[in-house]
Amino acid sequence: MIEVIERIMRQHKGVPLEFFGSNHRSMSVEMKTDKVSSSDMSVTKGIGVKAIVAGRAGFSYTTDISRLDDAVEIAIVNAKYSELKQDSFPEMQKMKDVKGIYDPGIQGMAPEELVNFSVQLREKLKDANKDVKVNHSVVEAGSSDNFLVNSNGISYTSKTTGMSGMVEAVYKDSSGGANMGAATIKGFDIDHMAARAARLAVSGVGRKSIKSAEQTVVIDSDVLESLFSNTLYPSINADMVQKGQSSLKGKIGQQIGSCGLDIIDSGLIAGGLCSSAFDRDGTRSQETSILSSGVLKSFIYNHVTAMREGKKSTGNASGGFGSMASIAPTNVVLKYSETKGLDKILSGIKDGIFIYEALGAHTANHITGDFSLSINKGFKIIDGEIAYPVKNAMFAGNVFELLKDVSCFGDDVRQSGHLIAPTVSFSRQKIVG
Amino acid sequence: MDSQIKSALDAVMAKGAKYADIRSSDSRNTTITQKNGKIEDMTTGNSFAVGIRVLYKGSWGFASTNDISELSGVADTAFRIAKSIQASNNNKEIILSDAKTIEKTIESKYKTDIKDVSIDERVRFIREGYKSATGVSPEIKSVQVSYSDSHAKKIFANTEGAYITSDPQYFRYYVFSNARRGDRIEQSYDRCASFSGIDELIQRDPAKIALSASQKALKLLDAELPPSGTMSAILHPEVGGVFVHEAVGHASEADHALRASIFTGKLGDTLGAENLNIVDDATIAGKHGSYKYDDEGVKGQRTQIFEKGVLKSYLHSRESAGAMGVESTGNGRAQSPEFMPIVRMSNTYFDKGDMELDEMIAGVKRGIYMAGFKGGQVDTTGGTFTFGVEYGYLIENGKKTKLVKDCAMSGHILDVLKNIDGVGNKLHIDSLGYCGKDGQMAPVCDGGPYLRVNNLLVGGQK
Repeated sequence: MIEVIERIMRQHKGVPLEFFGSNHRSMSVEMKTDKVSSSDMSVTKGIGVKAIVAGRAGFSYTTDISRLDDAVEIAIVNAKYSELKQDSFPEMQKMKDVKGIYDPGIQGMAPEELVNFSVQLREKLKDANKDVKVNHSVVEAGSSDNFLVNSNGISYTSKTTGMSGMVEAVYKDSSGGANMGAATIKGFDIDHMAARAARLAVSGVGRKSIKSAEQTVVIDSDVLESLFSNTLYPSINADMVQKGQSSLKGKIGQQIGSCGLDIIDSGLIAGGLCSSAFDRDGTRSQETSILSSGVLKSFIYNHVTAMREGKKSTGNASGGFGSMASIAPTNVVLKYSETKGLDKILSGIKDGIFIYEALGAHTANHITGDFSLSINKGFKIIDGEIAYPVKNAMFAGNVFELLKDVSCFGDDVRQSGHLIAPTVSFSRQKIVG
Repeated sequence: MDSQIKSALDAVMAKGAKYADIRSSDSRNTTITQKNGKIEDMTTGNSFAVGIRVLYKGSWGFASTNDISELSGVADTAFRIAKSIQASNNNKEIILSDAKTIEKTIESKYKTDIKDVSIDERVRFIREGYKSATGVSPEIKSVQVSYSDSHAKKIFANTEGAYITSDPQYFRYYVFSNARRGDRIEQSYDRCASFSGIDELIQRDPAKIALSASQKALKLLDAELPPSGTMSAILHPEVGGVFVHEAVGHASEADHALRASIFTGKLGDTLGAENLNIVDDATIAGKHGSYKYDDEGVKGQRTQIFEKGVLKSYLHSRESAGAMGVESTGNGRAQSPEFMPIVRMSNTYFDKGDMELDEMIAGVKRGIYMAGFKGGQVDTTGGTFTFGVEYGYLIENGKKTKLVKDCAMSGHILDVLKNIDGVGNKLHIDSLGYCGKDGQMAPVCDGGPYLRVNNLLVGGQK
């Protein structure tokens, strides 16, 4: 492959080119009502080509390697119509080694092994409570071999793997779910998934309506991740900021969160679900402080958006071979000055609600941060104890206000999507019953 | 390609498969995205993909690749997967409902072939939209216009002898406008998309679509936050359509109903009033969710889900229909050859009633009129749903009053179905969207008449 690309680069000498190739192999096993129902395997290969002509970038891609010459020609034509300013591609940098993101056991996993994970998950649910059923579960294993070659002499390759799972368990008229992601087999904690899903399903029986009131809200990191994905992440995306589509524009250096709150984006975390040595532009991964003691420090950039501000990319270029690099967070680490065990957090709450699952985060207004969630799995907290499951309640608020209302962090840190955070409690939130 | 497909199907049958099908798509896709007047993304690419689904006793195996030379290897993997699941799991035999064996070449006729539309013309659609969206007011601060199209050669073949080829073309055109006044920013959008050729875009006029996006964003600058609580609501057809899709449509998908949906075991039950009539119809000409054949080679059709308050039918694929001893309703759809078909809606709507909109509003003392869809979600097992709307009006003493924005409604499906006490007399089935399910997107459309719902839980920030 590299020989073909080198030949093409020689033929188009004078036209800066970038090639991003990906060979992604993935397998999944799905279970419905306690039975493995289907499984699939897919191979997705392709190459994306970016060309710079007169300071403008055009793009093309192909899934057919034999049509790569055509793809380059098209990218050059597209560059002539494009108004995306780009003078250059990233230069060579010394890479940092990122550990724990490749597991040969995942890349070489046989279908039978993955089926076994799915069956084990069901058995562990039954161990927790024999009347709990799997309504739906999906277990996936994937591996990617990527390369990035550009006219500046960069020629990087990477191998990453990942496993992910979701389960929705049912018990009587109640359901409970769990999600899990890990870069290695060892990190893929089925016990945790089964215990959580069974516990939520069983304890969800006997839901009661509640009255509208301001109260302390305790949020699971899955819920926080879904809220952030639709509000905070787009708001720190430099492209959105530059286009005036972020309410954080112009707020660098300002206090926007609780004094004790730090938010860090880091692509270098060992075993992180979103870790990699280099990003989609070929910029090496780094650690970027987004919020330090509540003060907004930086947005996240790819090569193109950083160039617009005369800055260096933060290594947040994202995407596959079929499109130009966009911007996405890598691993987002939340830290807070005050951390307590979950029991201690609960015991300090007189009147509150613990939210494990909520629907509707994607309807949040990403600019203003306003959201309105339907609480799908929530428990009323009275005098320091979980009292009963709630029904038909909503949690309405604003994500940027939430950042200021942090009350305490739990000690159950785990990764959900991008977010590495524990359970978090927020004071004085509005619950609509 | 024809012979490679046939030999792959023959090979898995020779190994003992009960059924297999192959879908392939070879497409040319163009995307142009303009942000704030500058074309920032100009992408053209070709995508090939082929997927094979193999049924062995009670288990499916599925595999896909975008390298045709790997088809026979991938077919073998699909068979191995099916067999290994069956071995470890001993699933009950899967019965597929009978389907007509169709051999057909669908040649679409378009007034303007997308292949003949020049890059210059595509760029013009964008520039006209931008000019119109920004020209309406200095308060419009940023506008994003995107255009994409694709044309493909698709093949469906199965081991029962079906062989359907088609040459679909698709375009979509989106305009997002942001209006700003002081610190306040509001966004809105409008769009146009069709499988019936580019002429629809020319007819609807890019400039008019863009103008509508900006006008909506400007309107939101004056909107207040809505109240919270339980109240009567008038749902605009777009919002009512989303309710039908999210709350009723998903729960009536037979794959959900076969596991645990709120409609499980309720066929024939009366779950609403006489005015509750809900239809899924893939055959309405030119709609976003329309198709001739689904991705199992079954003809798209009209299915009455609710009739006079009675749950009449689920939506089926061949597998779910086989499991329940009925015929497929032609709702087995896949996002692309890289996905297995699953039960999906097409064009879903609440059928019309007999009330005038004015009459419906006049009957509300304190309530809310909700319009502009912002996304929804439903738990088909528990029966709770929620979705957001872009804007609305308060209704006070039978009159539309203040403009409000960003509200959400939520509740339990069965309660809401019983609380519909007004159904409008005009049908609007135009709300085009993409429905996500099990990680797959499908183009759908939904709608209906204006609906009035009592005792709806409305969540606002006020």
